[in-house]
Amino acid sequence: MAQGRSNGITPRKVVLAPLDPVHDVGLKLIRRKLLERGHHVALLPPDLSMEEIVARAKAEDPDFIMISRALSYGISELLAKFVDLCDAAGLRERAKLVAGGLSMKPVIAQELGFDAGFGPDTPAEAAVAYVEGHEPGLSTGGRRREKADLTAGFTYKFRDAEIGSLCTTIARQLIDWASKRTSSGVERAHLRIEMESQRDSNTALYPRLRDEYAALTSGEIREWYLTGKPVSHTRPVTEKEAGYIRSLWENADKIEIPRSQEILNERNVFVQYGTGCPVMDAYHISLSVAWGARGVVHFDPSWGARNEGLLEQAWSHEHDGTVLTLDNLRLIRGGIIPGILWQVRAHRGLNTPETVVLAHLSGADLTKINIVYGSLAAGADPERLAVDGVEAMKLAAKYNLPYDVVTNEELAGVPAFKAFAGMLIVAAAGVLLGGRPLLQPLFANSPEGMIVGYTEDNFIDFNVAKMKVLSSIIDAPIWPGAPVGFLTQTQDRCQSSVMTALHAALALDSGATAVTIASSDEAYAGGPITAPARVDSLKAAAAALRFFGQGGIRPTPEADRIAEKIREGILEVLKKVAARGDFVASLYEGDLGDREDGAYPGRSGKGTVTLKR
Amino acid sequence: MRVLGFAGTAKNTGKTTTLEATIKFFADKHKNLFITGIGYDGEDFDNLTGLPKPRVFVPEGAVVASALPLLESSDAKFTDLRDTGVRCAVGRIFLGTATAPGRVVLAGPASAKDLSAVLAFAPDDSVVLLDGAFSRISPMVVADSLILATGAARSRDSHRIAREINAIHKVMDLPVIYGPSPGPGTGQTSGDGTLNVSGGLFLPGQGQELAWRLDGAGKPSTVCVTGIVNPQVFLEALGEMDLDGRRDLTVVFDHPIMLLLSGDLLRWEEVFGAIPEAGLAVGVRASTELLGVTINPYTPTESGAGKYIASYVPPESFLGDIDGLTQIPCTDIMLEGPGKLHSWLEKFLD
Repeated sequence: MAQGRSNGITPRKVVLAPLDPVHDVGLKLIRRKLLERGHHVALLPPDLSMEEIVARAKAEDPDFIMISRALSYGISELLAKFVDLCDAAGLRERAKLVAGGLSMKPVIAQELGFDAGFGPDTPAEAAVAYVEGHEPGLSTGGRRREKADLTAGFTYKFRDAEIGSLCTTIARQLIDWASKRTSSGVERAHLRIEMESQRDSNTALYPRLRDEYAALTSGEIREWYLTGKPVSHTRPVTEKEAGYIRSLWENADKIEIPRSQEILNERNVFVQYGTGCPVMDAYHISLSVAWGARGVVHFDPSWGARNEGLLEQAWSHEHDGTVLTLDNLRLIRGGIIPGILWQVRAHRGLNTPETVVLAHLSGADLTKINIVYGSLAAGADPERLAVDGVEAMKLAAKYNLPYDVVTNEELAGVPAFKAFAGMLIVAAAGVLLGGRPLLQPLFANSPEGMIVGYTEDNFIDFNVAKMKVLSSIIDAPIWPGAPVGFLTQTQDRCQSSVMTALHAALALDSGATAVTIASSDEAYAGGPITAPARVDSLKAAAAALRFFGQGGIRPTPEADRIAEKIREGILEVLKKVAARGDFVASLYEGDLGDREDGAYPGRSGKGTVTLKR
Repeated sequence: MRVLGFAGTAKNTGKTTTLEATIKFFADKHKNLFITGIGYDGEDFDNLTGLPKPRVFVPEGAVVASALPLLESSDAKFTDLRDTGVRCAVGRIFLGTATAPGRVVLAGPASAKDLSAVLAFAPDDSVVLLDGAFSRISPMVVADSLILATGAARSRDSHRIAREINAIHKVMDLPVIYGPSPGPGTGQTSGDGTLNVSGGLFLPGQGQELAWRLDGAGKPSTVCVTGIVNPQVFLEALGEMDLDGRRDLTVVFDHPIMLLLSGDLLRWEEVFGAIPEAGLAVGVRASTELLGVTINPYTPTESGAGKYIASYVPPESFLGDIDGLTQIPCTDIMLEGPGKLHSWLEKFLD
């Protein structure tokens, strides 16, 4: 029976046959959709033998026969038998055979002899589209192929005039202060720009520049430049390994994502990689993209932040963190297929400006800069990182590279209002320098949340309060991370996936532009992050987003009270920093996080800032 | 053009291994090969069990019909890519000529109709190798000859396997009875004494209906049955027929493969036992020659939910039991080498 409106579609005759005694729900859903489109549908009862189905189908003379059956090794033989029966009965002279059900996918449908196969990720619309003449590729999701601009549409105007005025005043002071100073990190960044422009020129200039660069390095990096001795726990990437990566990228753009994961692509869900091994990274990137990730974040080794200078050539690192070199980045770049966003972080340490240069030269879409986190919780001297951070922001503006301003100092125990004050100052400086910062509040059960009790009842209110207060202060993109769910995940992959997924859903429900998630074994990995754990998180996040849909997550009134407290705290901190009139001194003195909070001014690069001549 | 099909009684019975040895044989003889398949074959790991699979290597010069993405990703190099106009579940089927040998995944036409369309592209002087899938056999009606693969993946019981082989052999060995194409099933005996029965005999009750029609159709001398035939339903017909005075009745089916698609194969033992008793002559209008049977001791065994491990029955005794109980030549290529297979292929070429 056909019903529905006249829609210009040629009505098709479709026989729907459940080969499974109970699971005919999918077919009933397809029946409804087909009838709505004006097609003729005969839904057979679920207790017919295959021969009876063939006989009934013969009587209908259909254009399509769609069967549903959960697949197993034994059942596959039955399905193959069914295909044979249809073929021998002459049904396939006209009808297309379609199989749907758990475990079904196009290659299995092909092996069994069906014309098309739709798995559990396929919406009923894809089956309808196939009936209406579209190719069955619709069973996979549409990966976005355009580059998303996460900062589009934001004015960067302060909505909170009082806070905006203070941030701008402090930021101007910081920029002015930094403009009179330089460091070896700043000089290396500019040398790197020159070196890369000369790299293939075969002139005497390149070796001279390289010597100058080497003179500004320290420790094992310096030793490598002078003697060629590899840095501890690293070895060169072999040509064979590079070949693996390149061959992996050959078909990278053909990656299609399951329908059920498409929502991650739409909502700008990022993952992190940085196994130390570029080959493994390539696999993680491919896997993540195939499961819907919209962007990937490059993690470098922690020692890279403490040593002056960055290596050259492609290196594999024995531990976590993939060595930051242009060669490594260019190897990885091959897998950053159209539509995928790539962030190379420059948020801490003694190589911050040069990292922005490498991000630009390698074609990254985003970087990450925060003076406050880098100098209070990541080991760099505040004065040094203030100089380097401002230079990094200038370079990012020049290269049109947006960057997030992270607040992971909260993990050390710094309260959100202090971390946010620091983030807002840095963001204000970034805007003054012509940049496009993204705010990155931590979505976590942070020490403050536990100690003050913000997270005692739930993990919603505190995080929603952060979103509320930030969006009430400034019209800027917010990208919680990085990643979300810190200190809520455990060794249990199932629990970790759930926590990650709920935090991601909460962030996006609260108005975030993007979100970064960890793999379910990332927080407690006893070794390399595993592919199944990676997929766990991505699937869980997609499921959570599907679950909440437009339904929304409802915080308690406590969220507003926390937001107000955070705002008051931010204001108080900003007033203190402004009154001191010296942003860098505020970092040393603990205005933006002190020893009691768990924040310690870093010492790497101490005494290396010089006044510009 | 001569078509050689590779059909199995189940998945993992050794079709690909047999195909691979056959490709090598014909390549060594510099035959023009046209290779396609009705399923999906040659991938690294089985799509259902996750276990490693034998690969399909094509020699230089072979024409392969497979889904375009699989030709493009093959490590053989293909030129002269041509669209057949046929689509399968993993893409449009293209023809390509291998300019360099290499591995390929075969994903070809799934139905007899599409297979005919693709085979129309095969050059007249070519040997067409048609790879099967699972236990699918219906598209093999286009094949001139067939090699059957069976083994422990079908059943670990060598005696049962032997009985099935014998049943299939007997069906495939039915004599070809030449005559005009059968007309529509009108229920009436035509002037030449033929009763045409269309729509097959594969549902309970159809056998009884045939018997009634025979009784009311004026003593036809020939019954032409088009379509699928289930041995149980045919037995039902035999049981219901009043065969007195009909000792000269000949029953003609389309093709032996139509007799292998529905019901329990072993019931054909009973049918072949009952036919002489009933005094019937049984034949087919067209046939495919069964050259031999390859025996594979391999079977995937489930070792937990959705996980499989490779296991084997003892190859020598498995093959020995089957070979001793069957009339058609059988071989295990991995155990005995390709000698017997080569003799079948020589016969095919003759």
